[in-house]
Amino acid sequence: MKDYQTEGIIIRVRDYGEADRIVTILTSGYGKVQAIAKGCRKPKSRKRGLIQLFTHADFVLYRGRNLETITQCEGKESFAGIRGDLDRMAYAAYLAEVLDGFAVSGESQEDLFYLALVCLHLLTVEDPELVTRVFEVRIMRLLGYMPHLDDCVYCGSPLTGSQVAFSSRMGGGLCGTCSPADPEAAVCTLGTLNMLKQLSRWDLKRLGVLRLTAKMKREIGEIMQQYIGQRIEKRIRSADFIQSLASVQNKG
Amino acid sequence: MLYYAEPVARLIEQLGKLPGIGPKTAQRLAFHLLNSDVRESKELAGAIIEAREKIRYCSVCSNLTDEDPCRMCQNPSRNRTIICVVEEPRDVVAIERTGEYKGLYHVLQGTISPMEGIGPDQLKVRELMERLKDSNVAEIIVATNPNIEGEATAMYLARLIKPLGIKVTRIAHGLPVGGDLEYADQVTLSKAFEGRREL
Repeated sequence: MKDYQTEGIIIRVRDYGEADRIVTILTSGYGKVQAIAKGCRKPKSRKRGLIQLFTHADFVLYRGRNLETITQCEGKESFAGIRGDLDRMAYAAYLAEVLDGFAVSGESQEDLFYLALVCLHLLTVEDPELVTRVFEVRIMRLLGYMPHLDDCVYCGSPLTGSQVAFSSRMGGGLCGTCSPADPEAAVCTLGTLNMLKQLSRWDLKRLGVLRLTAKMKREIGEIMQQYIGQRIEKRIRSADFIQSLASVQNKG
Repeated sequence: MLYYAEPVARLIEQLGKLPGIGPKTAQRLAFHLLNSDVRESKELAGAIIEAREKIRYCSVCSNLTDEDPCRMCQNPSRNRTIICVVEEPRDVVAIERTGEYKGLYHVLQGTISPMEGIGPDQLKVRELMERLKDSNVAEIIVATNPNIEGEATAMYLARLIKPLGIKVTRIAHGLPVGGDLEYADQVTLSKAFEGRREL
């Protein structure tokens, strides 16, 4: 059978030719899939509203040599809450970019798909920065990159004291004495590392009750962005946009 | 083996680079040019070169123009208190065709797309803000496309411009005239309900 049906989220869209679009779909059963939606930019196309970033839908795909073709598509959720808010949209774009970097084609990545789905739903209601931080920790754990946070990754002694550090290169926390071992390690508080650990196990349904200080969120953000950047081996462009948004906010 | 004389082959190759023109169409166009009057071909070549040489971006609105500032920006009969922000020069033409709008334009030359690395700095946003600095503009109409990038651009502009005390509006979304409810997708239909108005 050349036709197959799968559930997926569109994580990347680009225009192709006169009226087509090539999209990257994170599917539940087939991992990352590249597909072409023919004619979807024509005003009469019924797929027009659905072939957009972040759409969660059931797709019927026709297997091609390089690209699949989207033959049918039935929308399930279009995340209006994300589209209607600039900050949420910027964070969602960041999520999509990280997912695109880690997802692989040709094998089922159901866990990753459900993590993406849950986080996009959370992004429509909860603090977008917190959701993004949880997403970062969770995706790392899911892919087997969970950083070592129980004791010092360099000497093995327990992490104590107020000032510790996180080394992306070694993949874990460093105690005060060992922090010079990696000059690029990010200095942070012990509370931040403990929060990282907590986020990796926290029940996502109860995310709203977590209260993090702005400093903690910033430290976790810096740590995870560096860590993910090291694993994904490319620059995440949306992160720059989130930064530039923050500066507009301060001015306004 | 060469099927065509070299100049013909080169003509076909060049025509084939244009959007929407495949090898067959390129061949047909080339033979049409060769069969038609020499004058016609010269006119076509002249028009292409003239457009390329004379057209540049207007220093005020960033639209395509042959004189600077463009005719639209110079026209005294246009309402100078409203600026309509669009993505591309093509959009100006589309809006002009309606005959409904008499204000000025600003062409952004694209939309914000965080994933592609296109931020406000790559667009003509700074030029727009410069324009607003000492002017009597009362309203900005954001007429970017109703997709995610267009929406993001609109929200970004609103955030930037509203603190200046200028009204920022967005064009309506919804059903096309002569459309069919049954065939509208959920997103469009829900937008149409959101933007309903009293009769």
